[in-house]
Formats: sequence, structure tokens, C-alpha cells
Amino acid sequence: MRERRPARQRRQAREFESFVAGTAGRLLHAAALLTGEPPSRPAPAAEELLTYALARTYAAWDRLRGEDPYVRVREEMAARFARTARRHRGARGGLTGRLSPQERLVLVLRLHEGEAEEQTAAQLGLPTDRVHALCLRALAELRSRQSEPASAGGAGAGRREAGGSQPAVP
Amino acid sequence: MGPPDVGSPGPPALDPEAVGLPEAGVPDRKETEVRRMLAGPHPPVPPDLAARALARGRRFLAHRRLLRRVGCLLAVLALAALAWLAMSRPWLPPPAHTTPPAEGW
Repeated sequence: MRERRPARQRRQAREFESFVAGTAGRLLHAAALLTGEPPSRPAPAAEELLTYALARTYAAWDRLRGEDPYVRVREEMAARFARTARRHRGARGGLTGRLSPQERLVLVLRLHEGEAEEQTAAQLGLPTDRVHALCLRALAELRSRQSEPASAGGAGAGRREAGGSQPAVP
Repeated sequence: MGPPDVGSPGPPALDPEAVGLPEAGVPDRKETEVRRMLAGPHPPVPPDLAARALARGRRFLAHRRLLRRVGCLLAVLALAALAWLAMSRPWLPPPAHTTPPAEGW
């Protein structure tokens, strides 16, 4: 057991590195949506969040037992973000900047990661109704933001709930 | 101890049909629209991200190991203290070194 430990560690490190190489882009995007940072430049808060979640996953690597490490990282990220939500309250200029931390969390887990409502509710310890409401609010906020002109030209012109005529330009 | 599946980086449930299950229809269209917004440009991944995460993960492991060792040490010490107490019962008065005075004869 003692002799085999370095070899096992090396194998785990290799597995971990190839896992990160394959998933980091998507996970970092999810993290940046959580922290509300824009995608155009490096996102330090999102990197911190993701590094923490990846490190926790690596520390549990030989106890995953067939569990998808991607799901584990996502859970770790969501849990840490929920714990430290106060830090991420302000707008940072990203797409989700104007949402509350809880709305961002629900939005990312439900829509970006495609979790079912019940799964998100169980993960966050919230009632399903509440998750549903948060998701609806986040959707409305994002869509109203999209329908606004990019620069604040007309004051309340584009503020109406979008019908469906808007072009889907991100 | 099967190594985790590192070959498939994609998340398990990405099928858009399987996501907006409960209410198909209008909310579904809104969800699709917002999902498209969310799938916009990605932030750049720093090249040393994996190395940083690996180093931090090793620190977590070392920390955990240290905690476990300290816990084991404390448990052993507590057991030894209990054994000593059971053997030498320090709360009993020490045995008398002098014989009591003989009286009445």
C-alpha cells in the first residue's frame, strides 16, 4: 500500500488533468455566470470558485466511485456560491450581473446545466415552488434586459415584456 | 474503485427536450431563448487552472490527513489516561504508612 501510493497519485493527477482539460471551458463559463462577470476578459472570482470546486473534487477523487466528476464539481461550486453569496451581490458587468445571487444560482443550474427543478430544489434545500419562482424572475429579468437597447437610448422604451418579435441576439 | 469517467466531459442532461419538462409550451420558448443567451461567449480559461486546482486539492488532502493524525493521537492519549486512572485510582487516600495506635490493653 505504501509503495503503491505515488503511482496511484500520479494516475489520479493524470486523470484529473485530462478531466479539467475537457471541462474547464464549460465550467468556467458557468462560474462566470454565477459571479456575474463578463466573458470578454479574465474572471478572477469565477476562477477562484472553480479552482476551489475542482480542488475539492480532486481531494475526493478516489471516493467518487463511479459518480460523474463533472456533477461533483457543479455541486461543489453551487454549495460554495450559496455559502458566499454575499460576496457576489454586486453587479460586475456580466450578463447575469443584475440578478440576485440566488436567481443566478437557479438560472445556471436549471437552464445552463439543464437540471430538473426538483434536483435543483433538493440541491439548494429550497422548496420546488421557490425554485420555480426564482427561475421565472430570472428569465423575465434577462429577457427584459435583452429587449432593451444596448446603450440606454430610450428611457423606458424597451422595458416592456418581450413578445417574441425581438431578434435573438445575445 | 473504478476511476471516474473522464472521457465524457459533457454534462449528463443537455437534451433541451428533457429540461423544461413540467410545462411545455410558452415557458419552454422563453427558456430556449434565455438558454441561447446563456450560451454566449465563454471567458478565457487560464492555462494553469488545472495545476492550481491540483495543488490546492493536494493541500486539502494534506490538511485532512493532518487532522486525522491529530485526532488519532488525541484518542490514544485519552485511552492511555483512562487506563492509568483505572490502574492507580488517584482519588483514593494513600495507604497509611504508620500503624494505628494500639489502645485498650
